Amino acid sequence: MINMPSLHRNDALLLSRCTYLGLIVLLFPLTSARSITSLDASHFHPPLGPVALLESFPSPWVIVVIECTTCALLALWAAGFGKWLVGGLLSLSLMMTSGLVYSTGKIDHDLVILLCPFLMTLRGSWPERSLLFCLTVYFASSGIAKITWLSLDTQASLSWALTYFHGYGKTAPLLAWSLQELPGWSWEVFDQLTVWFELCVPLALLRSFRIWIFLLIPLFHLATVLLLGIDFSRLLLVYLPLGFLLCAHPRKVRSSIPPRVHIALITLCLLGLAFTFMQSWPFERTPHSLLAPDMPGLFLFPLLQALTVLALLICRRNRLPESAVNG
Amino acid sequence: MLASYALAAAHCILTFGIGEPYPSLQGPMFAGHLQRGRIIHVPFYRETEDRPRLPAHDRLLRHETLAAPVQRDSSLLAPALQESAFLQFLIGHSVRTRNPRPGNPRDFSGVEWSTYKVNAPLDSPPELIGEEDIIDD
Repeated sequence: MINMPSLHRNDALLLSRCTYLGLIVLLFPLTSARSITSLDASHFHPPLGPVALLESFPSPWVIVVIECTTCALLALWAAGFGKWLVGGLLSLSLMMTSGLVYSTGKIDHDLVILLCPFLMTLRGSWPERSLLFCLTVYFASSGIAKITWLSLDTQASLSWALTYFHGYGKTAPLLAWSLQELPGWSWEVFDQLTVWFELCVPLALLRSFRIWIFLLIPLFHLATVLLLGIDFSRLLLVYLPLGFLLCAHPRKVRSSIPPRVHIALITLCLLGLAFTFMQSWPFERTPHSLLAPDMPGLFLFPLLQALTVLALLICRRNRLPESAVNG
Repeated sequence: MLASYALAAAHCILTFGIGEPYPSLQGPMFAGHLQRGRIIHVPFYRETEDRPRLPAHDRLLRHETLAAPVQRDSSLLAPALQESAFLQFLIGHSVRTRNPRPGNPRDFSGVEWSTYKVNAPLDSPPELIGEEDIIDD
């Protein structure tokens, strides 16, 4: 019989922070903005955000200072020091770096990931509430932006698939097959499902719909990876911490994680961070992800799906005796 | 939940209105407007002149116009730029219709825009039927 202890809030926060940092160290290293300083000012076109206040790329030493500060703040944040002040400064410095990396033109989709550290330092149940809220806004705005996809006269996802295949030369696992085999109506179904699903994600703010939305999110991402090669696996930086936070039991008064394990986890995170920092900075190399394939979502999303199902089964099992008692 | 929708709508208005308008070609594509009836036009461009000595920065500016072919030969274009930062650049979405960059007047000589013409019936898979230049370049 599976019987996982429910989490104390502090345990959930610790696991969330360690997961966030662990994913950065192992799978999704922070992109350095140092290489873009070789471009001239005509390439500078920052996205909305703090970087928009600049007129051109900053000097390389400014970027080094921002990146070193980010690293130090990450260490403090992971260890649980400084609370919201450190969390806020960390989110701000991550936004600066991301803004610089994206200042050559591509649209920055990472805001919700960058806000994570700050939101996780809020008091009480605000971390999970605000994180869930930001995630729903993220999906809803994506759905609203695609509102014209609902027209039955055009198949926007097919247009994109054709562009990716003929224009970009993308090789998503099912892209060539789907263009060869799927009739136009199935692309229209994909258009409709995409927009309606993205617009429905805010329903996760209502408890009764939450399970269904959580079960569908990994499937939605997997479908977009397989068909279009669009990989949003970096969103695991939001999904996994949120998962831990939602497992926190409000009535749990005692921590389940022994102090030794607590210290060991933080030490491991700090060692990983130090290794990544040493790897990237003095030797001027970009830290490598452990994921070699181009589309990590291909196996990360099925894994997330399995974890979600398992967590829901465990929650259901743990809740049964309580309801039996209450009933 | 209503606040979530309201904020998402505000985000879209801000993003598309003043922040990051989609490029002139990808915008309509995003909205599915490059489909007329059952015909879909897939925009692309080709180099009509060989410019092997063009500096890397100029080549990058040229390819910003859509950046599609660049992703195939990305490492040859600007070896100075590294990995992901480089890809962020090349993936493009870079022609800002409201604020064209000083070095990017969008009228490059030696670049020819065109589209692949695809028949996309509802009851069968799409079929590439040729090329048609519908882009005024």
